[in-house]
Amino acid sequence: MSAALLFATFGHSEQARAQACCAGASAITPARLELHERFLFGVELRAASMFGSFDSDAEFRESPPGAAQWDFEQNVFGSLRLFRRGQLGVLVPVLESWRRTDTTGSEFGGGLGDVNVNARYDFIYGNELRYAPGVALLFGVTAPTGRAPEAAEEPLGSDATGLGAWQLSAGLALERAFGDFLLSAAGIFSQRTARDVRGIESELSPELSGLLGVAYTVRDDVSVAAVGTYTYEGNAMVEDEEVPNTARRKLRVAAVASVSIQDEWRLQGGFFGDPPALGQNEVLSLGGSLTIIRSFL
Amino acid sequence: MLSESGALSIAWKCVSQDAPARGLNRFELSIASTESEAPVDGLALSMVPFMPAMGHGSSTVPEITALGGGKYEADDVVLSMPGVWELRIAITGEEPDYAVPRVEID
Repeated sequence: MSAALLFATFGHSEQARAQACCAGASAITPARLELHERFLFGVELRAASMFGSFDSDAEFRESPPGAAQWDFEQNVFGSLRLFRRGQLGVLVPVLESWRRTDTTGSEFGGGLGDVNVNARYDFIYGNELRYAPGVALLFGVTAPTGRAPEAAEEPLGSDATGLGAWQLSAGLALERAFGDFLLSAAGIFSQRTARDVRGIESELSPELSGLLGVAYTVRDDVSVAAVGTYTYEGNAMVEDEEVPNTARRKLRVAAVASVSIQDEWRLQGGFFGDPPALGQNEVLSLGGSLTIIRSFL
Repeated sequence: MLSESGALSIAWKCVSQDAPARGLNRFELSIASTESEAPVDGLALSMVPFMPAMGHGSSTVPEITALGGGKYEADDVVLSMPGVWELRIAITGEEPDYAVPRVEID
């Protein structure tokens, strides 16, 4: 089993940030086909708890007493082999959030998130050439099918499930195996469309994400990996003017494992967290994920 | 702070708790003429809480009530997540104006 599959689940730009306002913001090839697979579908379950944030001066702040937030996701996804080296996928997220503050009490809400369609084309497979890494192009389109924050009915926006804007993403992935180790790197560029927020024209800057990962094949049916992703977004534009100190940065690390259960089933799981470092204008979470995938040869 | 036109000075404070916080807030605005320094009554105000870094607003629309003496109360101001929020105040009427106080919450 390919350790590279681990990166597909945990290495992609987070499908839903801790704040459901930005849910479904980005997903690139969340489920990657093995070389011999024609089609797969799966379900990913995620849960995360917000524990703090970075302010506009890049200072870490703990969540205040009385404030709490838990975010849950169920992502249904599928991937289909196209031609010999391509694959096309779709991801349908369903999000829920439980939130609490001292002044509002607690609330719970959720719904359909922003649906994503993605594609991957492997120009060169990993280790296909003797001295070159595997090279793949990545594409993704995320539609605003979720509920934007301003359309939420709950005061804290626990039923907000979408970004409220279209997102287009493109990226490049490289990977190379060295014995039982697999090294992977990817860069992804994402552009969101402008949106109207109660009469305010708002546009987020393009988002750049970088991923580095190393996976180790323990045995034929078990792999483990460590993945780090760093996301950067420039200052936002409001009413065609750049707003200073609104750039966003966040580091996320994850440890994951994958187990094959018979030839057609695999189980993936792990933990992720946002270290209180190198961040700005972002919320920080700790969480875990469990994914089951059924593939067809 | 001054309004966009410079004609009004606007002071604001959180009156529901010691400082703006995640969740429900109530603010009191004090509006005076920059020229005469006299309180200004009778303004039609609306407020849109907006988070520029995240590109979204709040699910609730604050209610603004005139208290007299140039004071106005903005209730139901829900700031749902940590970060910088703009409380975008639009003044409609004979002399439209605009002001954007900022708060940062944990």
